[in-house]
Amino acid sequence: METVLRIEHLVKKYGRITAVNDLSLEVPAGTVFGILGPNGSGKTTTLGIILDVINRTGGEYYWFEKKPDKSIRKRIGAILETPIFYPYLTAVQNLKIVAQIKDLPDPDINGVLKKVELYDRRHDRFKTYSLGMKQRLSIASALLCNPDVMILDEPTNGLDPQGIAEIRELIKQIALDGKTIILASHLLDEVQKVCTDFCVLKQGSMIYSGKVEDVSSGVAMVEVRVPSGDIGEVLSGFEGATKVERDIHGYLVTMQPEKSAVDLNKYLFEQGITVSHLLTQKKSLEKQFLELLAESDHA
Amino acid sequence: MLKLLRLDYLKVKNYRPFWVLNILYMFLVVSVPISLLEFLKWLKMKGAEFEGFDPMKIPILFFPDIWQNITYFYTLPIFLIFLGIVVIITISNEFSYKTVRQNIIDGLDRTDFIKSKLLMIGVLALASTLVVFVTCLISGLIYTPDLDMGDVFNGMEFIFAYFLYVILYLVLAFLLTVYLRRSALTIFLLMLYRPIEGVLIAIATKYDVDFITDYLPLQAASRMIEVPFPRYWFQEITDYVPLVPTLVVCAYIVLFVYLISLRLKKSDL
Ligand SMILES: Nc1ncnc2c1ncn2[C@@H]1O[C@H](COP(=O)(O)OP(=O)(O)OP(=O)(O)O)[C@@H](O)[C@H]1O
Ligand SMILES: [Mg+2]
Repeated sequence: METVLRIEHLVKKYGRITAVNDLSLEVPAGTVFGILGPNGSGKTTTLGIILDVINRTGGEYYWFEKKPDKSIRKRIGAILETPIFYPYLTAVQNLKIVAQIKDLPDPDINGVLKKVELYDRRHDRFKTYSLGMKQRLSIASALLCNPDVMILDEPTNGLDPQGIAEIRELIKQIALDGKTIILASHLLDEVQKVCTDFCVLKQGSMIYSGKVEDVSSGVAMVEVRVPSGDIGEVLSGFEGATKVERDIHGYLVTMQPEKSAVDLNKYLFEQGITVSHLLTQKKSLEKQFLELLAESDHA
Repeated sequence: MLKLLRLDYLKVKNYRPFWVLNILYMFLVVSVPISLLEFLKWLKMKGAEFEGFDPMKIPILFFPDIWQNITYFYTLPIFLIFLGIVVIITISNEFSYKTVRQNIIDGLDRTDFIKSKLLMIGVLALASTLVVFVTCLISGLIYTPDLDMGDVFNGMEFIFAYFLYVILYLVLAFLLTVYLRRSALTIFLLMLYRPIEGVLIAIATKYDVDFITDYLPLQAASRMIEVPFPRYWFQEITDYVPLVPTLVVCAYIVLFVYLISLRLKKSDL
């Protein structure tokens, strides 16, 4: 498969602080690639470097296996951190500037504004917009060139729940068109919902990378409830469990890789316990993420 | 190049301060010959003291003197600061709004950004040179008593000197903006800059090394258009545009542009 972006040993230092530390990664075409990491882990810095607004201290990166230049950025729709526009200009005037930079002869300005539901406000100045509207305008601007690659840094920041859902839907739609999306986010369920691949950064280093489905299809957890009584002891006796936790309503049993709820149910039945509720959960990305960070702390 | 020009046009088209300042500057330019004339009329009114001498006969606004006389006025910092402020606010806006960052993300490169701003400076300088040229031409045509076509375009090299002066001044404004980023501070420093040169010149003169002051940027620029008025009390003046200061000005323009790109190429946006 074609590689859209390849980063090799990227380093960025701000004085004593190493914002990006020997980062290497590859983004294959057609993936929705999530970059996760706590605050200050270097997500924005990394994206800034590959978009040529931040100078790197070391390392290389390649877009479409080529040395980066401005013609490639013209085909990328990108937003970094906060929406940036000329405050004294309207949405339409601002998008005209973007179209001029990107050499778009016939930009569909009204089309993208309709898509993000800003069409009615298109002749209002940017500075009069609410945070969510500004965010929507930046997404409209990223869509304007009908890009092959989109880079979104916290795209749902400041949006209302409906807006968040719409943007996620939009991202999925764009991904279905075969486009590549690179998404930096704190919102783990956002990444889980829309991404195919992800990596985790911590203090500028990559501590994990893999497919989202591998995480979700990994180890299962089983929620167990009984009508009454304490079954903690009994559950701890189950060989198929790696961990038993007390929950508000009942117990949460982390299973060994090959074990499933069937084994647990059978065991409990043999112990003379009948359960009122037995639910298998896939391990969430959130749990995985927190575990990864915790593990790297110990390492 | 046209693309970059159009890009900057889109940016300032609806930016009111840009137009207000430019129009103000234009009014100032046009007002100079008018006020000069009013001044001469006023002198004439007080005529008694001149013992029959008619100040209206002083050829200040006559061809060919007018070119040097008037461009001298127009290069005084009090006029140029208007254009300087235009340059400073449009460029510092790009930094404070961070739009330069988004422009580059969208597909400009740093050289394009510098070029687009230099183009804007070029257009401003050309436009103001045009206004100055037309103002001079019309004033000259109106006030010169015995019009000799040979005299009309004699001395027009001062218009070219004016153009170079404006370019140098605006590129200096660009340079200061790039290094200081904040508009108020930059405007303040640009206003202070010429007086600073004045102090340097005073010091250099004190130590008898005043020949080096000709190599200060704005001092060199003002050497291109010497103070013309002493000629009316029979003193020798340089009534042409001398070559060395012109070359010094060109060299400074190149140096400033180099310093601008040095800074913009290696800074994080
Ligand atoms: N201009 C700068 N000067 C000095 N340090 C900086 C600068 N920009 C970023 N940093 C540092 O680089 C590190 C990475 O910052 P970055 O903005 O990339 O984090 P992030 O992962 O995007 O965080 P967040 O999730 O909060 O957006 C931080 O430690 C930050 O303090
Ligand atoms: Mg960030």
